[in-house]
Amino acid sequence: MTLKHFIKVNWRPAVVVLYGLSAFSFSVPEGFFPPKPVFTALASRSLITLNLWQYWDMFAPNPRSDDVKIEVAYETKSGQKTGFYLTDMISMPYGERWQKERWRKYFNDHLRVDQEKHLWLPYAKFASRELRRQGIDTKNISLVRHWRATSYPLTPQSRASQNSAAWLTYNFFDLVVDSPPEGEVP
Amino acid sequence: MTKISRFCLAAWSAFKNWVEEPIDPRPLGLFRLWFGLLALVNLLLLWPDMEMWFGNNGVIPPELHQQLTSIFRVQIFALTGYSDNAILVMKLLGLAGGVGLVLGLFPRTAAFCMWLVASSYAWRNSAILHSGDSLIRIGSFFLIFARSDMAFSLRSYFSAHRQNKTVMSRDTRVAAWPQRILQVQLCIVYLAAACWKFKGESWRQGTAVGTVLQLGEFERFPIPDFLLTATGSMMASYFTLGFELLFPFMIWIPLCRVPFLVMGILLHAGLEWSLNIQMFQWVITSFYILFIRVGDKSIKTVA
Repeated sequence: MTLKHFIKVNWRPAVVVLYGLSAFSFSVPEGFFPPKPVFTALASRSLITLNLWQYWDMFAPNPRSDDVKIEVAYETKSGQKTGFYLTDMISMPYGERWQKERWRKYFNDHLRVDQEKHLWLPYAKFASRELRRQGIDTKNISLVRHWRATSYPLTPQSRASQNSAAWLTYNFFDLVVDSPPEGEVP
Repeated sequence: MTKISRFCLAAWSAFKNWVEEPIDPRPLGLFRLWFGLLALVNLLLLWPDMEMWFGNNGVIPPELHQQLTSIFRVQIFALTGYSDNAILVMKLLGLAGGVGLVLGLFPRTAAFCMWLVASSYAWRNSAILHSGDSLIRIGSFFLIFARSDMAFSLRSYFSAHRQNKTVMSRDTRVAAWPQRILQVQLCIVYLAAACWKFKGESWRQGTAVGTVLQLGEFERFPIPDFLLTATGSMMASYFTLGFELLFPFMIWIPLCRVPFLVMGILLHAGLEWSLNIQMFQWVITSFYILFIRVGDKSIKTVA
C-alpha cells in the first residue's frame, strides 16, 4: 500500500483523531496531558486561524469569591453628580439580566481588573459619548468597583439578593472630559 | 505480526468503521434544526449591543484592538477592515445562516455563514464571549461538512412530498464523520472542564457551587435552601465534577448512554434555572441529540 493510497483510505478517521487530540490538547490545563506541548506547537496556529480554538474553564480552577458590580459615576457640566450601574444584575428584570449577560462578562471579568487597564480609557470615552448622545454633557467620568466577599458557612440568606453585607468601593479610573471625545463633533 | 500490532490494526479498523460507516440522518438533521435555532437566538440577544461591542466607536476602538490581536483568523473584518459595515454583514449573514440551518435550506452554506459570523465577533471582541459562542462556532464549522438536510428539512419534506411518501426509506444514510467529530467535541468539553476544575481547591473541597450561588451577577430564580448549605454545596460540586469526568467515557457504553444523557439534562436544567448564564446550557445539550439512536424501524418524516 502506498502512502498516497493509505491517506486516501484513512483520511476521515485520521481527521477525527487529529482534531480530537489537538482540541483536547489546546483546551486542557498544563500537566494533564503530557503531549500537550507537541500538539500545541503543531496544531494551535491552525486551530486559531480556523477559529476552532476553545477554552472550557467555566468557574474553574476556582470561581471568583467576590461578588462584583461596576458603576459609572459622572459629574455633569452643571455640577450635578450622579451615575449608573453597568452590572447590578439582580436589580434587573429577568429578561434584561439574561440579555445583558455579556455585560457581566465584559465589565466584571475584564474591565474591572488591573491587568486589563488598557480597556479603561476607551470605555470611559465611550460612556462620555453615549451620555452626550443622550444630551448629558459630562465634566468627568469615573469607573467604580463595588465588591463584597462571599462567606461561609452558607445559609439560605447567602444569596446576593438576601445578603445585607456592605459593599466595598474603589474608584479605579477617572477621565476629565475637557473637550469632546475623539471622533465627536463638538 | 505480533499480537500488539494485530490488536492495533483491529482497533484502527473498528474505529475506521465507526467513523466511516454511513449513519441514520435523523439525529444530525434534528441537531441542525435545534442548533440553528439556538444560534439564531444567540445572535438576536447580541443584536442590540453589536455597535457597542464591535463598532469603531465602541468599547474597543480599532487602534487598541490592533494591539491585542496577532495571529490571522478567517473572519469578516479581514475583508472589510475595521468598518461598521462589517456589523451589518454579520447581522445579515447570521440571519441567513440561522434561518438556513433551521429550515435545512442550503445547510452547508448556512453553516458556513454562521461559522463566519461567530468567528468574526469572537475576533473583534473576545472579552464578551461565553462558552455557548465557542460551541456555536465549532458546531457550525463541522456542519459545513455534514449532509444534514436529509431529515427535518424543507428538502426532505418536499422530496417526500414529491414521491408521495410519508415514510423515510430505511436505506437513507449519510456520512458519519462530521457527526463523530461533534460527538468527540462534546466529550472534549466535559473532560477539559473536569481537568480545569480539578486544579481548583474549591472544587476539590466542595465549596465551589456554594461560592457561585452567592454571586449576584449569576443569581436567577429561587433555589431550594438545601443547596445553600455546606452539604448541599459539596454534593452539587462533586456531582458536577464526577459527571464531567465520567461523561466522555460512559457515553460510549450503550447501557450507560441514556442515564448519562438524562443526568446531563438534569444538571444543565438545574444550572439554567439557578444561574444567569446566557445560552450555554441550551447549546451544550443540543449536542446530546447526536447521541440519540433511533431504532431500526422506519419513522414518519416531517411529511
